[in-house]
Amino acid sequence: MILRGLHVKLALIVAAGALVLAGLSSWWFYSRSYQDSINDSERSVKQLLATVEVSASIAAYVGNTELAQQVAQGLIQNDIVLGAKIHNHAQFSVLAGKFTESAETRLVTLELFSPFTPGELIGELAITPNYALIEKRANESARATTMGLAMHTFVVAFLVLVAVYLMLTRPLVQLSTGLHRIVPGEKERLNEFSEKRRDEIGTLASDINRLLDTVENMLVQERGLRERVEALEQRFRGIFEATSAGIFLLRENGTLVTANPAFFRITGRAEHELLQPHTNCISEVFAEPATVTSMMSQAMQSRRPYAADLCLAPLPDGETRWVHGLLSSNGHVDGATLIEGVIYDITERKHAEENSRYLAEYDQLTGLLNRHSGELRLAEQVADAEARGESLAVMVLDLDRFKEINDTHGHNAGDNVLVTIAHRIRTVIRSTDLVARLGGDEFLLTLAHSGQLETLHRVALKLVDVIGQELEVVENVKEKVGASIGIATFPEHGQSWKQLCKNADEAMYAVKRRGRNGYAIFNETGNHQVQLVDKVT
Amino acid sequence: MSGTRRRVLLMWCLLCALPSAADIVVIVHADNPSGELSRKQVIDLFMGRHAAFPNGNIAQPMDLAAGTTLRKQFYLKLTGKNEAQVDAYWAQLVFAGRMSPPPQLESSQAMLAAVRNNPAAIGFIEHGQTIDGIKVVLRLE
Repeated sequence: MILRGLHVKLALIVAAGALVLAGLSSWWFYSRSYQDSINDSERSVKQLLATVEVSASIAAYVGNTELAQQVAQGLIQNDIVLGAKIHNHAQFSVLAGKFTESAETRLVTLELFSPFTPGELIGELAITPNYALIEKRANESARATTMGLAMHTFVVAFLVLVAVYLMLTRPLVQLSTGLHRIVPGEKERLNEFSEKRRDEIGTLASDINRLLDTVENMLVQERGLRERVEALEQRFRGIFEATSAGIFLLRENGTLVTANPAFFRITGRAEHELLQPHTNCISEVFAEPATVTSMMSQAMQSRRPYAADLCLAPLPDGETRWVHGLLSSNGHVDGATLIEGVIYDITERKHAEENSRYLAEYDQLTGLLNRHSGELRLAEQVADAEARGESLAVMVLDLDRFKEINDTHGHNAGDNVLVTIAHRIRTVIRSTDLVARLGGDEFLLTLAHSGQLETLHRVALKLVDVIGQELEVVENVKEKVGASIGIATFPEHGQSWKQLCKNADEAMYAVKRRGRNGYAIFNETGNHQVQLVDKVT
Repeated sequence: MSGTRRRVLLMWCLLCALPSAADIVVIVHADNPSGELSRKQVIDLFMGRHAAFPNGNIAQPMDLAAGTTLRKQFYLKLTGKNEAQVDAYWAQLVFAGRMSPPPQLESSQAMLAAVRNNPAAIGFIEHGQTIDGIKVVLRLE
């Protein structure tokens, strides 16, 4: 056991206490006992004197030296008497033993009075007590007392120590070392004391064991709980990590708190790049950061999620990617509002959408707008022109000899004609102007001519010219087609696109009636100005 | 001093005319030159302290037989000690050696006779007895 052990300390304290107590009591009892012993001896000497007083008085009275001698001899038989002297004033002085009369020897004297005449001083009895012996005895006695006392003290201290060790220290040390060895939460327990040990230490041991039971139960429960939480966390983390949706957490200032791998995969950005403390994730990732920022503030204010299709900022590889984003307020962390976002890659869907829109709006064969969207676009252009006070020409173009080629060379030949003609028309028409295939071999065009009729004429002529060029309808078969163009201008020939189309159509039929391959500008009188170009053979 | 004594003695004579069994007188031979003795002087003589009268003449104290009433009375009145104490006193001295108590006489008559015949003797008798040839040196009440 180490020196700081309980019973070592206790033993030291008890031993020190016993030592001090024994020292103090020894000193006190020694001096006390010594003095008592001295007093006893002096009293004994006085008693001795009293014993022989009568005889000594008689001897002194009568002056009988024999009796005096007898008394004196009797006195020195006592070992505490060294010498004795009896004298009466005049007649005699009897000495016995080693009687010395000097300043140092403390004599014990007794005045002798006449036995018959009270008060008559007749002599003196003096003895020299054996002080050496008296002191020696006093010393011995005192030492014996002191030794006994010290022994007693030490024995009691030892017994106390043993009792305390057996009753208190040893069980406490057992408890302490036992408890020290035990890891809380493990199965190990303290050795309980026997049934007889129903005192505080026994109670302490069983209480500690109960406490250990409780701790173990709590730890077991805690462990189970933690395992469940970990499993849940694992599952959620798995979902978070593995989901195809990009999940991210933004601060109000647009910096990224965290995001799952899918987020980085979708955005095509590196994690370390976006997690820089001062990198604004929104402006880095999205093509239109302002939209996202406004969604964020709306989501924070309304506490409702906001969703939108968002275009991502173009990556170096140039591909435009789209995501569907859902932003919602995530509450507050460390005093800052966080925004939670989920994005799905919808690039494929966007492409499909664009494709289907294309299918809906464009003529598959020629790549021109189809009739429906052409008419819509025309309506828009008319409305624009009206709003701006500008002029707009609407042309309806119909191919000559198309049906003939179709019938002669087959549908593929007709298709080839249409594709080629569409291409040729586009070379003449500006990109801002409208070209649509109304169906069959009929086309709709617009021309912003700024009121210059010369331009109209020039463009119409150019169209007739380019369309009339020879073309290869099937392999090694070349044909020519013609074009009949009817023109109506806004605002002169109609306020609505329908009116304009109808009038242009009328003008076109006028061209057809007059011999094809030419153009005519509508006239309200019905006398359309038809300009025919070379006849198609 | 002696005038006063004489007057006291006279008073004593008047008083002693009345019969009194308690009174004891210490007597010496009529020729003894000693005058009256003090009680202490008488004690010193009887108890063996002094062997001579104050004037230097040898004194021989006479005692009565042990157990007699007079003897008891005498020592009691003289020393204040009873007979046993006095005997013990002597016993000590005798045991120590060299000293012996006064000789014990049979009776008061023998005491009277001894005192009358011995000028050194000193004895005691009951007051009121014939005192021819002796003289009283101390009266004990």
